[in-house]
Amino acid sequence: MAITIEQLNDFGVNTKEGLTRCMNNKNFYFKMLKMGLSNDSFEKLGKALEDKNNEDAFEAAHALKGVLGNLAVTPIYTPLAEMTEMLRANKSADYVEMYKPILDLRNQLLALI
Amino acid sequence: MEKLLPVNTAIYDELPISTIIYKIFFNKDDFSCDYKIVYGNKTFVNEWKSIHGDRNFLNESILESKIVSDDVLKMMEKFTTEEPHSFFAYVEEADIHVHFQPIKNLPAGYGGFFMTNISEYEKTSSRMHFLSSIRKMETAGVLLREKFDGSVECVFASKNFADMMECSETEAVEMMSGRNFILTTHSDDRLDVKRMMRRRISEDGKKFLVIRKITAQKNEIWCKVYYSFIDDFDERYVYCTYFDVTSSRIYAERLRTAYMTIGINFYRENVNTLGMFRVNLTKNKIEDIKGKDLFATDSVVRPYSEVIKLRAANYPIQKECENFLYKFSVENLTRKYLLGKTQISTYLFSRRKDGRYCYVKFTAALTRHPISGEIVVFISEQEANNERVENELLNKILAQQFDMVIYISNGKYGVVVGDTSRITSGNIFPVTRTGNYEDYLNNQVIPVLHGDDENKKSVAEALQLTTVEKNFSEKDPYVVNISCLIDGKIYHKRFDFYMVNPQANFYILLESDTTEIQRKQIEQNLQLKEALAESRQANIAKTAFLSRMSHEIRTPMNAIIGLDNIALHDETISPSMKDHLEKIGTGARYLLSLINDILDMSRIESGRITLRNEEFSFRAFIEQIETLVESQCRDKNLKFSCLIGGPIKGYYIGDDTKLKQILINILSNAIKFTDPGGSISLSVECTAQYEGQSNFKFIIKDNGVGMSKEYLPKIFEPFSQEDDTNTSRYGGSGLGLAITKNIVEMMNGTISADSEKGVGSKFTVTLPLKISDRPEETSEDEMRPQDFSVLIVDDDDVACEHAKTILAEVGISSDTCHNGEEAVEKIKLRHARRNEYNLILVDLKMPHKDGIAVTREIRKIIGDEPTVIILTAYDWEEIIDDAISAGVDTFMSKPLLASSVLYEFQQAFHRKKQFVAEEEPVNLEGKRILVVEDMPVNAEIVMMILEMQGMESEHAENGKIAVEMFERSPENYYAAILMDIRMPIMDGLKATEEIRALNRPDAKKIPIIATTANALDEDVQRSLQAGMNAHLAKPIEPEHLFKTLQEFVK
Repeated sequence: MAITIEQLNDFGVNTKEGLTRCMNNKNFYFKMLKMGLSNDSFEKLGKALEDKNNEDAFEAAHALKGVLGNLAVTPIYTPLAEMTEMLRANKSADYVEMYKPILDLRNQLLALI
Repeated sequence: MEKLLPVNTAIYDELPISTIIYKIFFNKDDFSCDYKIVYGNKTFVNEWKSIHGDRNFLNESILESKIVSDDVLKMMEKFTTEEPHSFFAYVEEADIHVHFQPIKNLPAGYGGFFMTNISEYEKTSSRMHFLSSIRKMETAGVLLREKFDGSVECVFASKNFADMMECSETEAVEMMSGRNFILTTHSDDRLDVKRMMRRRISEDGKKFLVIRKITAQKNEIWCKVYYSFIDDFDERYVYCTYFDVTSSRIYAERLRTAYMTIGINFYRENVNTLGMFRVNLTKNKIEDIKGKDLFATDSVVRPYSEVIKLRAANYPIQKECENFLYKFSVENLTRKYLLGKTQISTYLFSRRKDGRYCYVKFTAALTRHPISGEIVVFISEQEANNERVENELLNKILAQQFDMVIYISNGKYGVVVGDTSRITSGNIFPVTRTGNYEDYLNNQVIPVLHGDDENKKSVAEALQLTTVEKNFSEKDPYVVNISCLIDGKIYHKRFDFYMVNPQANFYILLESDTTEIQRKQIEQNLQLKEALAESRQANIAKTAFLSRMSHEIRTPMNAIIGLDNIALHDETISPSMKDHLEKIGTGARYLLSLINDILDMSRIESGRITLRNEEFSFRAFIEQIETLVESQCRDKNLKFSCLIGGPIKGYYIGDDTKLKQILINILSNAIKFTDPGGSISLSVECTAQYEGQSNFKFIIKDNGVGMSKEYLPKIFEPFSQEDDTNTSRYGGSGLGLAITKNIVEMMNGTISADSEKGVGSKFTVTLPLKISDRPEETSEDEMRPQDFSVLIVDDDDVACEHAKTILAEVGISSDTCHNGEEAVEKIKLRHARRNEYNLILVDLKMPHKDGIAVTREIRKIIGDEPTVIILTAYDWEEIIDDAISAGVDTFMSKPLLASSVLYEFQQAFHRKKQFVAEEEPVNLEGKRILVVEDMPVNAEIVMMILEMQGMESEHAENGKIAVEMFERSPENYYAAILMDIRMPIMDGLKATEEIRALNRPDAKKIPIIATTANALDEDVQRSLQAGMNAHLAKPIEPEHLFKTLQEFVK
């Protein structure tokens, strides 16, 4: 296992909360993290945003928000939740630009895990 | 000499019997003989010597010397001519009886005797004879033998004597022997008996005595005893013959006693005595006369018959006078005495010597003179005013109160007071003045009883003497009320039985007619009922008025205080405006307190105040008071200190609100009457603990203006303040201390005050509180402001806003809404989210639905869990029962005060916790949950969570699959469904609707819980509309999830 709890903490992941939700089973938590971060909704979201398909984008964002909330990956969850609410309200914004750091962080973490 | 004898005398020498041989000498005339003793053996010689000394007996001429008695000489002469035989003779010299046995075969001319002293024999046999002859006597007799020491021994007691002494003969002997002889004699007669025994003659020289003996049965009998003293056979005997003279003796004794008693007791003057005579009726003679009210005509020399006439002249009432003369005539008295009457009396109206008139009681006591046997009368004439009047009065009263007074003794009755003629109707007076009570009951009472058979039976039973007797052990008098139907009218009668003598079964029975009383009572009862109803009405009206008034005043006060509060929070106001607003607030609060005081006082006066018995934290209680008082003291620049001492427990049971009122009332007074710079102290001490109670002593001291000693006793009276100038200076209703004292007393406490003008005041309150077993809670257990989630329901905007502001000041977050419907909606949503309000404040008076109705609905949705407090400006005592049954936990009066709100909330929670039992958590192990979730990670996590708790889970990736899985599953296969909302193909809402629509029994019942990141109110509402049971927000909290599942999976 490449990444440690400490490292995750450094990223800003609320591991304590995440682990609690996984009944303090570290292996399971990491497994879920890997599963959650490799979810293809990230790609779906990226594509929808590029296509300006806000409806699909909301779907994907909402789904991801749920997963990342569950795993307490706060640094991704927080901007994603913000984006979800904006999409829900159908606000116009440069979502592609907004999504870039989210995706970067996701890729970083996924690489480590 | 022996040689001269032709007899071998040697054979007699050693014989133990006196033996002599004599020789017969014929005188010269040959006609007469002489005798000479020629031999005496040793025994004889010894005996001779012992009697005659050295006197010679041998060869003496017996005729001359007379050494044998004439009797013996005669026999000796006789034996010269005929065959000798044995004989007895008395030997004078020796005073002995001797048996003479002639010696046979002596040569002619000789004679001889063997001689035996038979005196002893003789005596014994005659004594036997004596005794046996006594024994044969028929009389009641005893034979006594006096012993040397003077004591007596009873030798014999006759059968008759034994009978007289009521015992057996053997016992009689015992009773007459030794000390018993005297002991069985009456103590008054012992001296006589002893004297008789000693001197053998009575005091008056007679051989008899009349004494009393005490029989074996301890009865006293009079005996006439004849004494015969017999001294014989060397012994002293007394033969006593008894004659029972008891009956005659008792008669004589009685006579004597009667005479004496009359003489001593009756014939004695007292203050009421007017005159007295002793009259010998037989001789018609006055023997003695005395008294203070005698007329000159009264004289000893006149015969009684004449004197009585003279007396009669003083009795002015003709009828009485005639009656008197007849009653006290010699003839009448004599006749009456012979008929057995011993006392005759009459009341007379009499003139006295001094000319006054009075009632006299003329009494004659009759007896017989004990010696002469003549009839003697003791007559007294006594002034009897009081006695007479009392009796008269008693009779009148009895006759007034009672139809009759009878006595009952051993089943017989006799009329004491009562007059049939007086009773005009409804008469059950006994037909005869004496008779059997039972006959009276059966013939006159039971037949006229009124009522149903059951009733009649029980009344008849109650009047039976056996019942009466039984009841006396419990009650005296024993009272029976009966109804009678006489001549078509109903009468009520009352029987009062009084026990006079329980041993003799002697009662007094008073019978009275209560018809009139009953009628009046019924009337009175009716009047009372009406009056009561009226006063109840009035009371209800008063209560309603006070309640309305208090509300009418308090509602605008609320608005004033509320708005003032809100305005004060506006940061844009100027300092002078702020000052005005603060003054408005102070004034409004003061006005409110006055209204509260008046309401309290009216509650106390009408007894409508009740004390709660609820557990409260003593520490929190004191803290709250401290906070409140401290801030007020700070405002007025007073020093405040609070001291707590004694073994104080964590929790007590009592009415903390009222206790707070007591302390705050006194403390507020202290603050009010102490000038800035002064100091106030509160000391709390637990002085004693016993039987689950603690005694508390609260002392409130100040160094304020104080009160004068004269005023002190009045401070607890309503509307009192020391002087009017003070009132204007300090204000106040003057009710505070009166209320305080009343509450203290209701709590079984005491309050006292001590004060000195210009020095300060000291109030001491002592009261008991029940100790609660609950240990002191740690501060973690206590509700903190952030733990409260409050919903305020009030139709009034200002009130809502004010409450929210106050709560925010304390740090409690709250939502507001304006009516019941809104509240129910809000609560439903929160409930679905499992994020409940734990405290709901509901205004009582709201349009459409009042607070109680709203509470009822709230309880329907969310059960007992949240605390519901009714906020009201009304007096809630009236609706308290209704409210509690609707599910209201407690009340708080409007407006809310920041100083007390947290404490009140904590108390309400605390109390609720006592009553709401912790529910046993449902075991979720083995339950199967369908997890409907499109995101694998979320699904995995949820399933992981469920499995950790021992549950089984199955996964459906979208709604469609979920519906299919559910459809395929056997009934009750899944315990619950966790449903994501947003899913491809079929979302959760649709899936829920489809599941609910399925035609299978568990389709409607299976709990479906939404799990979604969408947590807006609209989302929640949609979930509920789709038929979901609850709505949980993501990310899922395991504890939250379990709790929700436990709630639904049962």
